[in-house]
Amino acid sequence: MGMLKNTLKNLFSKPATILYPVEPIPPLPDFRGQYTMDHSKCIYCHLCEKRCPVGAIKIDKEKKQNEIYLSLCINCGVCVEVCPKDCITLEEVYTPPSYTREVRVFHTEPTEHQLKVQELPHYAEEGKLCITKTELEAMKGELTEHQYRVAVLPCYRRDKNDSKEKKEA
Amino acid sequence: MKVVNIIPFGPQHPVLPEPIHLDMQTEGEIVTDVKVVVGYVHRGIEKGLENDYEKNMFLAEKICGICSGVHTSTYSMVIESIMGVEVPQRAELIRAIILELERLHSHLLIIGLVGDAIGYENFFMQTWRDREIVMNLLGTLTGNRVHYGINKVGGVRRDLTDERIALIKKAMAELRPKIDDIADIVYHDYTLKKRGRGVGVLKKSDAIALGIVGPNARASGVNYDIRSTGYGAYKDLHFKPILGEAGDCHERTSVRVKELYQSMDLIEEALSLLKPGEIAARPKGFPKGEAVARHEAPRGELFYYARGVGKKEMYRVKVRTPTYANIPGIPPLVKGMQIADVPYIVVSLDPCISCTER
Repeated sequence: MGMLKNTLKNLFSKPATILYPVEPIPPLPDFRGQYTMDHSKCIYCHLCEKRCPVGAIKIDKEKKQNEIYLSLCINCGVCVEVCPKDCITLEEVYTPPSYTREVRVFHTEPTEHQLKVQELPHYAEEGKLCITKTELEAMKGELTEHQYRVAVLPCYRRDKNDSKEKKEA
Repeated sequence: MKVVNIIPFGPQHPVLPEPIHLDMQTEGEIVTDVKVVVGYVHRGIEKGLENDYEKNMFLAEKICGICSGVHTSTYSMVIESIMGVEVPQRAELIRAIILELERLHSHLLIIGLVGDAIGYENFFMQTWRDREIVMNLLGTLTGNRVHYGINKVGGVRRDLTDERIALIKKAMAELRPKIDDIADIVYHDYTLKKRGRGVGVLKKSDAIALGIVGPNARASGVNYDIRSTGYGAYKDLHFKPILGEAGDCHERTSVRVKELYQSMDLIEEALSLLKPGEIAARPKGFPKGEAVARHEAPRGELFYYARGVGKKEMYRVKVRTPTYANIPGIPPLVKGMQIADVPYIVVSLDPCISCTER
């Protein structure tokens, strides 16, 4: 009898689920999200590189360039703790799913984050990705951050399907 | 002449979240003999743990996705006892709170999966919806919903501020009536009672002989709960193991429901004992020597052995997880039962295969 009441109640109440990825999941407060860095503060002490449990950080003192391998990063936050200059933060953003092994490069000039994408071998062979990627980058200003992230995935898929059709023809 | 058929169960089966394989010898609908095959998700984590003792914390956490907190707590406990680090009381209490929250969500998960195994989808959805409250609370308290990363050698990494304590109290107040609903269904629902009573009965003597641990052993009346040895903060908390009698599938679920209430009480007691102070002690030098540590994980006794040789890298870390001890319980429970009951019996033992195979 309890279950019948429950069923009727749930029939007329709001759904408990979120329609991801159409509707973004709101990040939790104090959440350990995506790695980001204020490069201008970095003193190249290599502490975060040494203490990172998965070896996802590469600090290059000569080039004055720091790299983070997003596909390796486990968002543990050790780098944030050990940094003596507090230049690393974990944004309250979920790292989006991706088909590529993404490397974020933090460089002194230009100071803004550059996004370098290392393609997986089978995408690189087809050599078409760069075009649509740039097209997408050009559109980036018009899109919200989340829309951009959702759009990246079908963009890769379309590329793959296009080249398959061409081969068959 | 009798015809003996061998029917496979798993490694892929709708009720199993993880791969385990049973070869069942059957006569008609009755299972006469069974062979358990494991080893589908071996990842070599014990070998991987021969690494920097501080970095190991994050690998030990990846042994299990459900009980990741208890793995790091036990790993820190074993390293702390090698290095002779005294953990501050506040850190011990925070660990206990996180572990009890983890037990809440783990038990809600398996109570739901029991509903799923017998086709009671409404009940499954209800428990998993209520579990989200605990998951989101853990996400806010520790920084992540699944792999909390709260522990480090010597203490914890995040403090419980007043705001977070208020969040815990609010979530517990929200959860209690929902668990009342779940308990009402488990104790009184006709379907669950009819399906679970007298199915997969584990006698007390068998449970002791086979070395079954956790709620499965307690449902058979074995008084075996590592929390009563008083490790960490449990020496200050008032705690009494919950015991069942019947030892069947329904009793195992009922014991888990009672443990939900117990966990909520323990969390409230631990919150009242919190005093301001340090949350982590600084370890000195490198681990040299060997030690063992035990915790009561949601599924039973979790055992760690570690040995260091005065280097940063550990010489050996051995992990024995609760399901490793519970798997020998599957063949005697399944023998003589109907094929249709096998999925339900296996799920009611709360197997965590990734834990087992490490």
